Amino acid sequence: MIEYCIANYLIEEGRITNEQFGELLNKQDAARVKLGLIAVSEGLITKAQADEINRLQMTRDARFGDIAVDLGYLREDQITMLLRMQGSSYHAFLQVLTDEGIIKLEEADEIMKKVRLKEGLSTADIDAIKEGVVERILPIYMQDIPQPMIDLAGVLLRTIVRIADRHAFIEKAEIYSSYELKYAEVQEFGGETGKFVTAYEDVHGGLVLLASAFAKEAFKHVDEDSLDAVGEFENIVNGLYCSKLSKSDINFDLEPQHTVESGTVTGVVCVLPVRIRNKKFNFIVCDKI
Amino acid sequence: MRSVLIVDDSRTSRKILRTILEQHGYNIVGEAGDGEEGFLMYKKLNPDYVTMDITMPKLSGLECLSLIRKENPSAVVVMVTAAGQKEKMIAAIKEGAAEFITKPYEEKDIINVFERLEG
Ligand SMILES: [Mg+2]
Repeated sequence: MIEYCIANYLIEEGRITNEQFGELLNKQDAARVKLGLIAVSEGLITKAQADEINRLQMTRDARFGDIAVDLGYLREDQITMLLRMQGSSYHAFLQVLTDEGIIKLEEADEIMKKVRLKEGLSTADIDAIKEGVVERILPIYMQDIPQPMIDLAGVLLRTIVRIADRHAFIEKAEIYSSYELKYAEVQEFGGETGKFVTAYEDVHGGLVLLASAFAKEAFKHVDEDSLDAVGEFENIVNGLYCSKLSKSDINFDLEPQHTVESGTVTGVVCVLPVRIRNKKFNFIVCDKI
Repeated sequence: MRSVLIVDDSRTSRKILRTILEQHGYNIVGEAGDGEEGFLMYKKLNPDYVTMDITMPKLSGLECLSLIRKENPSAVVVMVTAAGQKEKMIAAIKEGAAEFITKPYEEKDIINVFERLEG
């Protein structure tokens, strides 16, 4: 996630292009090591236990480490150690930047200072982004946004990272009283205590990337097929959010997702830009129609 | 070869299911995009198994399940649906759904359920 902040700075400085950023992310991916793999290779858990955790991860909106602790397979301090061993994506991205000769390792601290000032972040914010802790990152970019919308964005971001693309990040969310949708994939859901409308709208190619990563199919345009994949992803995210609510005995029903070629949502409308690879889409959530 | 009818309003979702089931030797005899079409295709094709989404336009998966079970009380219908639909799942059990799978799922979740159904 921190790679987006660093890339924003390097692009502005003319040291890399947005195109190049996409390639750098691919290179970073090649160096990916999974927590489960490290835990197994260190002899802390068995392969079968790792598989079980991975399976649970698909249906619970929770992290590998949290589930492992829940099941009593790993202790908190072991998780901390594993995360350290895994190497943060900050270090992985730094590695790629230095390997490619884009920056020198000695420059890293100075660059991070400039990134922090440019983005208007505190050192604590930077640490949260470096560690990729979604719960701490959301409040940085979603100030003055109603809590249920932040929670929903949290489910979205974690789900993208888990099943579509681990390179995902957000930009500052804005609130509107009315927002015009263009070619968006929309779903309504709610119950007695409230009603939400979510919409996924392309900015420049991000929605196509999301659809392709989720459906494992190479879509080229925002069209009926790629929007169908986005709709199913949206359905899953909203379902996971409803599942969290049902633990507090709130029962929300999902309506079928559908494409809106043009339309307006009014009420409290939160627009959250989501970065995926070197592209972007808007996640829109509205608390009434 | 066992025959399966897939009922889901998402083409992506149907494709993912079809790929998994075909790889494990099931014959996908039909795909329906809503509950109404699902019921009509069920009557026409009389498949061994049906996979049924819940959130769909026209007729929901629950309504379609109920029609199918009325048509054939021994029909084997597997609900494959987004998480967080607890009340609807309870309703589906009452209507005689054979199994449940929540999205997002992994390939082995699907296969485990079908192996259980085969006994
Ligand atoms: Mg559906």
